[in-house]
Amino acid sequence: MARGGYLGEFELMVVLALIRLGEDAYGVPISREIEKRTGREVAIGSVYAALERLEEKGLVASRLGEPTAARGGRAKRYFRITSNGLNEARETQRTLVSLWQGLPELSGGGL
Amino acid sequence: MNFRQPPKLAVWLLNRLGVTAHNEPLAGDLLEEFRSGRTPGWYWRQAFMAILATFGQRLRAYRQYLLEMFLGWSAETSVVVALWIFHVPLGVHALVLGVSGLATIWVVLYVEYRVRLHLWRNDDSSEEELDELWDRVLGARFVILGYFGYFVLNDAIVVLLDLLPGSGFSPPFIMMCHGCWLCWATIGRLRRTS
Repeated sequence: MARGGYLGEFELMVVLALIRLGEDAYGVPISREIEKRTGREVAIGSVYAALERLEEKGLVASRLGEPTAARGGRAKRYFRITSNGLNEARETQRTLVSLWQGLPELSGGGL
Repeated sequence: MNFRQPPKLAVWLLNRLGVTAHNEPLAGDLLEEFRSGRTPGWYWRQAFMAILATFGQRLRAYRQYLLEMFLGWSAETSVVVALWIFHVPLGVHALVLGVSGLATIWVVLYVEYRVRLHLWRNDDSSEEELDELWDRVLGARFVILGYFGYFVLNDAIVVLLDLLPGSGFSPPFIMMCHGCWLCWATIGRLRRTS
């Protein structure tokens, strides 16, 4: 487990979206992926805030791309998951699955 | 290619509140999405959330400065209140505030250095890193030093005004002045630092 604690819910969503998208992930596809999976509108600013926190923890790395006219001359920032990030995602999955197991209230779909 | 423009006021707010300067790819992403068919309402919501997220990030980044300023402000305010409660002669107010201000700075500085030194020692840090840490601790303390410098000067002025016949400066008014100045100076400092 990385120093700084567990991944938050939104951070975990961002990490999983990054793993799904692979190398060419930047703000727009990441937020679209989360929107597609959750069915809720995602603020791109919140995605960047989460990515910045993840980068500080060493779970994500980024590089700047080339500026384009369609983006008002602004460059894309590409993100990729690091090996620490993958380990952290696995650890979070293991913890959550372990907490999930043996809960009859959640296994049958009713209370 | 679609080159329609997003709402001007939203773009102005994004630029004005530092989001664009702080994070250019984010502004580019918003524009790209808008040009791919999103509505002006969507752009407004995203701009608003981006401004909030940036503000939160800055608060997080400067939490140490903010905490220090709060400590300094609390200490200085406590001294001002004590001076009024115990009817300390006005002539010595500036001296008491100056001495207590400097004492607070050094107590905070010393405690923080000891705490950080302890934490970093556990990390097997090198001597160079510890020197760098000391520089950073000293640098951060200059913020609080600046405020105390102002408070001492301001209190000296208020004391002088109070000595004049007919001037009705009350302790709450002085507190209010301090609060306003603190907010203004904090914003200025954060803008310069960023």
